[in-house]
Amino acid sequence: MTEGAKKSFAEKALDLDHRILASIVFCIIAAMILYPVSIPFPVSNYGQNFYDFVHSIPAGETIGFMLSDTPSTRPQLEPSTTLSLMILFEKDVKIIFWQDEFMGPPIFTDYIAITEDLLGRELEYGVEYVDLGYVAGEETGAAAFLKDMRTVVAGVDVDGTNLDDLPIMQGINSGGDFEYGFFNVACRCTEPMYVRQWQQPYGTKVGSINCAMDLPAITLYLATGQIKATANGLLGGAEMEYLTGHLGTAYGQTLAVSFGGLYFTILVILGNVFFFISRAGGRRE
Amino acid sequence: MTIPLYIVSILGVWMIAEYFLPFLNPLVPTTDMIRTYATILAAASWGLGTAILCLAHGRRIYRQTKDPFWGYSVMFLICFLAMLGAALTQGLKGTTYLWFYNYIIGPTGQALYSTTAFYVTTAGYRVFRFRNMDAAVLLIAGMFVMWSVLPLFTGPFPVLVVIAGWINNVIAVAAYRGFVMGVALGIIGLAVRVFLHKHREVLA
Repeated sequence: MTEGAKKSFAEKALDLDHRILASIVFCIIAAMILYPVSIPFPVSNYGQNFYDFVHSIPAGETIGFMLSDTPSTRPQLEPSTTLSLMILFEKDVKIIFWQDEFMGPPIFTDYIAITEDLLGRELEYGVEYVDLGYVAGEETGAAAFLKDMRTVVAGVDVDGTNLDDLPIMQGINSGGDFEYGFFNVACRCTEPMYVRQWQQPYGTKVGSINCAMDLPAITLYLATGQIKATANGLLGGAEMEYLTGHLGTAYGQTLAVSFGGLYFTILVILGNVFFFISRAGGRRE
Repeated sequence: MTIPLYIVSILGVWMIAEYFLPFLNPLVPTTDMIRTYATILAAASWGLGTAILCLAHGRRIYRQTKDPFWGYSVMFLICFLAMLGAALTQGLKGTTYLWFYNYIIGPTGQALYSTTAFYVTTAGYRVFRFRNMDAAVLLIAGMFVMWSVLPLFTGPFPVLVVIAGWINNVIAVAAYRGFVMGVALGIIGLAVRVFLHKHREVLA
């Protein structure tokens, strides 16, 4: 189109200011968070399988849990993580935690506090759970840690307590000592790393708590059964809230995102309609 | 430059040999020790990186007349010292450290991450179009997968979950497997080049 030529309505619509589009999505999401409406909430296969997987862990079992959430992914993953922990601790499952992300340790502290609130009691450190802290080195670090935990963490937990003095650590030193395990890897797509270094060499049954954008990376392993189940992003959190009867932030956010998705759909349709109208009018991109 | 490259080559071949050749079992304890050293080195690299970052920002402040953004470096050092001080005095579970984390780093990270919603929305309006057949396939598959995770759509139209499930479990899995295999072959090729000292850039 030549400079200064008069624009058609469709062309003007296509050039709509980003700020207008963004302001509308902000209003929709804010309105849905402030004034939520009730909509049908079907539970997906992913959500049901994850819930069943958490429940399938026998009472009294000792499991591993790599919990490395980050501040930016926390709204998506906190509900499914804390509710899983609640179910597990209710069944007297003992959990050995560690983190492979430097942002993980402070969030872990918070998650334990939230889980204690959900349970309505304090968890006994060293008996019900232990924190082995941050393990650096990504995949090499994970491989070394799962092979010989005591060597990698120098035989002490995050507070410097000797692991041999903690009842929960008796007889536990490698990934092979866990029949079941979980990893919350935020949005880093590192789930396959734990399939390679944990599930495959030791045969541990693992479940994943991950962002929705990580789903393509783990679908391969869900299909083969190498990852038993996934709490898939915000929807996974909302499904856990729904299935456990603890409706909270994820459920509300899912409604907001649903209406954001409706707005997105309308924009895509309008964008295409205006695109074809303007192209029929001779506009070239 | 030659000695580090030889270290990389020897350790790389060692790790591969230990994994694939069972008769090399006597190497296992040494390999485990090397892996443990790797975690120690990775942890130490945080300290080195932090020191280099502080030096770079300190240099920027020192040469403030040449850099109009030196004020950001001052802010960095203030924040760094505050976090370091809180961690050293009260530990990583101290209230001050956790307060910084929960009320400054957390909301900032979440706010930054959430801005993607605005850009994705605008991109949907401007870019997600039936320009050609490839774009049409992407658009249709993308919309089905998006609808399948939104209860507003799956509630009245449960068939969306079935369609998106097929897209995810058949098409996406096949494509992703091909992608993963391609990446794996690329990594093997790169590793061979590094071991043969044909790719010296790996050591910067």
